[in-house]
Amino acid sequence: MFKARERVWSPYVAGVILGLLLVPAMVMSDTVLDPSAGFLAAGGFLQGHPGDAGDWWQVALLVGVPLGARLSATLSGSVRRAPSPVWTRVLGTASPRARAVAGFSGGVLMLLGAGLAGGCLAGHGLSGVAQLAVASVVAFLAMIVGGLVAGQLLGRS
Amino acid sequence: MAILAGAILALGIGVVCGFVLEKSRVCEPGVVIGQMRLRNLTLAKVWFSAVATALICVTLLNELDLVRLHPKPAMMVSDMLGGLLFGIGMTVAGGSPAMALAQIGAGYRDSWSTPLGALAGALGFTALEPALRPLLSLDGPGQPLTLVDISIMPFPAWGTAIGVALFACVMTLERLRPWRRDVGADADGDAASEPTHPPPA
Repeated sequence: MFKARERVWSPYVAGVILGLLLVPAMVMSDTVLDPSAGFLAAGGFLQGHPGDAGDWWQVALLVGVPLGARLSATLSGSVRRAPSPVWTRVLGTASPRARAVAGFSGGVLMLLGAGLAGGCLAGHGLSGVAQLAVASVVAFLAMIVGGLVAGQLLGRS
Repeated sequence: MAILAGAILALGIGVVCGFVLEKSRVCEPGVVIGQMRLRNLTLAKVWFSAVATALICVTLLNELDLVRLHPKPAMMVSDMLGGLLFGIGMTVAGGSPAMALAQIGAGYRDSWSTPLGALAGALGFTALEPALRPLLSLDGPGQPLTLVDISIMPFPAWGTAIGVALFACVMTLERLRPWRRDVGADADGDAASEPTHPPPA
C-alpha cells in the first residue's frame, strides 16, 4: 500500500499525505498550497509584473509536481502513453486537435475562475476549507456543482 | 524563511504532491471525468481525506499558535461564479492545472494544452481585471471571514466536527464502492479500457 514501486495506492493514504503537505507550507513558509497563484504569477511576469516571493513559492511548487509524477510512474513502470483512452470516449473522436481544444479551453476557464474566486481546487478546496474560510467553502461547493454539471453535459464516457 | 530555502521546500512539496497524485491515479483524466459523471469516486475519496487531514492538522497547529491563518476575503458572487467556471473547466480539461502537470509528468504529453490554456487564462484575467472589478466588488470589498466568525462555535469544534464528518463520508463512499473497483483494468480510471498491465494487487 505504501511501496513506491506499486502502481496504485489507496486513495485514503494518498489523501492523508496530500493533507499533511499543508503543514510544512504553513509552519515553515507561512503560506498555503495555491497552484493557481503560480499561474497568475507567471502570467503577471510575462506582462512585466515581477511578483513577490509568495507567488514564486507557488511556481516552485508547480515545477515539482510533474517531477514527482514522473518519479512515481518510473518507479512503478507505469509511464503512460498519450492520450488517455477516456478522451476518445468523451470527445467522440481520437482527433489530437479536439483533445488540445478541450485541454486549452478547460485551462482558460479554470484560471479565469480561479482569478475571480481568488483560488483554485487546492487553494480553496484544500487550504481554504482547512482554515474554515467562508469564501473557500462557497467556492469549493461551486466547483463541485460546476464540475458535476459539466460532467453530465460532456458526453458519454 | 530565506527565499532559496522556501523555493526548495516548495519544490519538495510539489514533488511529493505529484508523486501522490500519480500513485492515487487522481491525475488520470479518466478518474477526474469519471468523478464528475459520478462513475468514479476516487477523486472524492482522495480529496475528502486530504481536507479532513489538513483540517485536523490546522486545528491543532492553530491551537498551539504555530500557524497564522490566511482565509481569503469572502465575496460571494465572485466566489460562486469563479468556482463554477473552475469546476466546468476542470471537467473539460480532465483535471486541474496542477493535475495536468502531473499528467504530463506521468507521460500524457497531450496534457500540455491545459497548462498552456491556464497561462492564457491567467493573462486574460490580468487584462480583464480592471473591467471585472465592478463585478468582483459587487457584494462589497470582502472580509477574511471564517466559519468561526459567523457562528458561536470555536475553531476546534468546527475543525473536529467537519474532519470527523469527512472521514465518515469517505468510509461510507468506500462501503458503497470499494476503491479498487474504480481504478480501472489498466489503473487509468477508465473501466472500459483494455488492460495492458496486470491488475493492481
